[in-house]
Amino acid sequence: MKKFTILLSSLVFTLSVALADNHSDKLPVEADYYPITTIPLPEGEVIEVSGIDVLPGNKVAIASRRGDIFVGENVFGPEPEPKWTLFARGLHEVLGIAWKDGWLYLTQRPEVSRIKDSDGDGRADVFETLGDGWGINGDYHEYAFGTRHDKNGDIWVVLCLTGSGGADDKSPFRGWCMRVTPDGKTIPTGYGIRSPGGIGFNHLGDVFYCDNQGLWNGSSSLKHLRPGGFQGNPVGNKYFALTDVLGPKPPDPTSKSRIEIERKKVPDFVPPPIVLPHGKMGNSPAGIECDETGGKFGPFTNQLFVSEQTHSKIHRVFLEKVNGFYQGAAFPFVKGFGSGNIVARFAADGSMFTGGTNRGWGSHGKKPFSFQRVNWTGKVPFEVHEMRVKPDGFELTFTKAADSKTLSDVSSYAMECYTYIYQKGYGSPVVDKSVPIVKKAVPAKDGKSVRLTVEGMVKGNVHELKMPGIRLKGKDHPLLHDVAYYTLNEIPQN
Amino acid sequence: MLGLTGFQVHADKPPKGFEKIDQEIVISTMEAQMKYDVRSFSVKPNAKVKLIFKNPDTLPHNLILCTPGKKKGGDGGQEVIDAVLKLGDKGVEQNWEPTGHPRILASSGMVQPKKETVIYFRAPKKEGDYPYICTFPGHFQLMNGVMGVSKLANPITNLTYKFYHGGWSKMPDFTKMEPKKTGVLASGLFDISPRDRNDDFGFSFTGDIECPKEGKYTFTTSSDDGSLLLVDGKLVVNNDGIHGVKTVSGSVKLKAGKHLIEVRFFEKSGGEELSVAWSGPGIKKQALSKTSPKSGGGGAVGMLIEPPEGEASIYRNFINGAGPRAIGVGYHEGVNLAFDANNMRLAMIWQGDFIDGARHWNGRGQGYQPPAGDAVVNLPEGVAIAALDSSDSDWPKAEYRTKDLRFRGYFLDKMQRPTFKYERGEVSVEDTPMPIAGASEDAAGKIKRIIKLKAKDAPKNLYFRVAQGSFEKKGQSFEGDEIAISVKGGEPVAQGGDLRVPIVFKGGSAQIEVTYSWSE
Repeated sequence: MKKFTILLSSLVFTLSVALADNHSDKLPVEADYYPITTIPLPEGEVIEVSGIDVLPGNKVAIASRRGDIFVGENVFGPEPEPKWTLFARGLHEVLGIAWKDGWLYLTQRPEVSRIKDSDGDGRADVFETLGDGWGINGDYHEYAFGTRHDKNGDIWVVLCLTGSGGADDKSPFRGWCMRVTPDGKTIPTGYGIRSPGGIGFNHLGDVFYCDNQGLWNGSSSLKHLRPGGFQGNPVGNKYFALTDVLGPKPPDPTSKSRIEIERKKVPDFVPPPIVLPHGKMGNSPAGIECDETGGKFGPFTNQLFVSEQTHSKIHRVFLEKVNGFYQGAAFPFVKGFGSGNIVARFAADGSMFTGGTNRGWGSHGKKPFSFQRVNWTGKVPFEVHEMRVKPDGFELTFTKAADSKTLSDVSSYAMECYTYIYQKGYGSPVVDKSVPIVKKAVPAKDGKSVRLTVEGMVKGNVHELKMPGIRLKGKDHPLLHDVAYYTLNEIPQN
Repeated sequence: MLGLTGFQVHADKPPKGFEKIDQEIVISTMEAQMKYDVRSFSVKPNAKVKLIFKNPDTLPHNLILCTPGKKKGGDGGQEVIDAVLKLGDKGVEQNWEPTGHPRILASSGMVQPKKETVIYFRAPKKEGDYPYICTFPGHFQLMNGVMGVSKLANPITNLTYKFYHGGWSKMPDFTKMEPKKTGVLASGLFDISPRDRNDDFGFSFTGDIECPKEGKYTFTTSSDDGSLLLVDGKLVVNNDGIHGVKTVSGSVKLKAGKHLIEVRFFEKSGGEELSVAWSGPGIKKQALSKTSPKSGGGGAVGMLIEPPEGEASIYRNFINGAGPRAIGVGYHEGVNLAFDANNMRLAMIWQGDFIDGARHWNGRGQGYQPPAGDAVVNLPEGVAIAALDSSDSDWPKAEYRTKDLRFRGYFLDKMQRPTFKYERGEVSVEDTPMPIAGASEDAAGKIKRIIKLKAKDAPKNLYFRVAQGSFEKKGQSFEGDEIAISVKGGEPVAQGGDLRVPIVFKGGSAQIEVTYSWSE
């Protein structure tokens, strides 16, 4: 009996040590891996950051909604004390900048231009209009977001509809994607756009943009600008009368339907690779930036980072190609930015510069504007790395080995499935809700992936996967973000 | 006595409570014309008014201010006249005044020739038109006027309107037309409500405006469709043409005292609106109509963009009058311009303040912002360079955006002043406006513009349109209502309301130099 008592007490001791250990080991937070550093801006200036690029010599150029360009030095390091120079002023709401061969290329509301400091005094003095083959009509919604150069040297521009819902004769090509070539041609490249919030490339040079919830857009989405592709809003289709580059005007979709149904009738329909569920993920997705830093930003090489204006966040997006179409999953990444995030840009050292504004549309970050930087601390967060669809389920990979027992327990997972009405009216409630069942979860031996067999997947719908039960191998840590939103437009055959 | 609380004839000193008055008005009889010189004036409700009544005529006259009466539209004080007639033999005794008549608000008493009198009274609280008449038998038919009581009372007297029918696309010559209706606007407010239709009509208004001090006065009209405002016969605001509510301002130097103010207005179809305002020495912007002018559909203020010392400022945005692809340039020399990159034209020039960023830098920034300054001159809409069969061919119709010319950007000099670049086919153009500061701080500056054209195969039939309107050649200068223009490098032709210059290429290049001066 005595012996037993000793055993028991030692067990209690071990347990209490383990508990104490757990207690002192606080759960990790985003800032342990990806802290945000605020970069001071020149005093007295209002710089609602709407474009960022990195210049030679460790300089950074930022554009503002007011139409200024500032160039900053000493923007790196833990406590940056930058020196800012006014490079250009009085431009028309610049929403995209790109440095190339001594020129700074700008997408302004009316045109793509390139500007240069030809006399070396630090201020631009040459302002060349490169391409301006679209119309504007005095409406604030007539935004133009532009990319950097693609491999051909073209800049891709997405044009918001007039008033975010109209297509006036005075404003040709609203709701279209245009390419501006190095020799100044403006080429209609895609259509069906409503109200973009930003545009960017993936690592292969394919172009994506974010479109905001509204008419013919049940929820905000990340969309793939496949040349000649239709993005879902037919209001701008009237401009087929002005060009034959993309062939004849396609049939209009039917309202109060589903994208999954209508895409069968409109051949060029590109279903949104990522639906960002409105209210859950954010309200206003903006710029898109791909991690091509080769690991300097952590384990998410070639994934996309999406700025979110209303929620002052950055989302992370993994894309795969299934049956020829991009689709994939969105994950929460970092929240708590100063203002409404509009744009992000990686520097070669793995710094991610972010900028934003909350003018005109509110944001969780209450600063009227901000310029910040996200850096990876070198510690790997416990996250879902990739989420791929399989004919009968999904495969998840992890950034770190997970506890196999929790991985193989189907009660670690909960899935919901839903979509939005595809309609002429504004937005949509969540519809067609169902609950697919995770029947089986088979982890890999190393605990770095798990194969889920799911019953009840629905083609065309968002598959929201919660993983509250998964634990880090050897520790009682849950995933840093235990939710993923997979948009299932296509299901592979095998 | 209906709000009449103080009243005294032949007062050397003001009565108690009237030591400080709100408004003074001088009304004089006109010699041998049986008329008052002021046929209408306006006062604010309950205002303390000092009325000086002068009688330089050879007959005795009085001035009796009456309540409006019950008759709809007013009776011009007829009831008081009827009471005078009923006095019969007592009329002479009572100086033709039915003392105590309920409609009499105030009276000067009979004032003998070459005499004058002063009366003090408090204006009625109720807004409306209060007639005043001379009750000497046989006078009142001609000798009458109206006091408008209005919260928006202003220094305009004798404001009358003439109302016309007709469909026009620009301001017609009303003097050659028969008005359908005429009337007095005693409130002193320009008003297009006395109309019987909502399309195809026009108004011409005339009145006298009292300038308290000598100085520069700025007038603004906001109208749908066109309006013009003239002071002493000189065009100050040109807001002509068919358009939605559009706001245009202009300035003029005026001496203290009364000046003739005229506003002309026409409406073709759709919405109709006319608002007028003025400002000047000691006068903050004051509406001269029931509605205040919309500053370019709501000219936002509070973020004035001021060119730094020695530099120009650029503002690319939606600028009222210069289109959605406007490039505003403010020179620290005090002159400004806006270039329209939809049509490759100089759209506007103006003086004073450049432009306010508040419209586009607050909220979502909807719409067009007008210039912040004054003496805005709108230059012709449509392309500025065109190929014509001959110098008297019609200028191509203005389009929203030309397909003939292409914008190529601009470059800046050391003082941040732009040279605009554009092309017309093989012809490339460099267009350099330059500010010329005024000779003194008060004097208006000028804008000189050098337009250089280059082409391998120079087209022969190109013309450059400098301005629109009527111009009179005086020496080397073409004098218009708002601006005077001088041109070097080509012989201007005044044709069909245009001032156009043939572009003559020599060795593949041509140069035109245009100087815009504001008319004195």
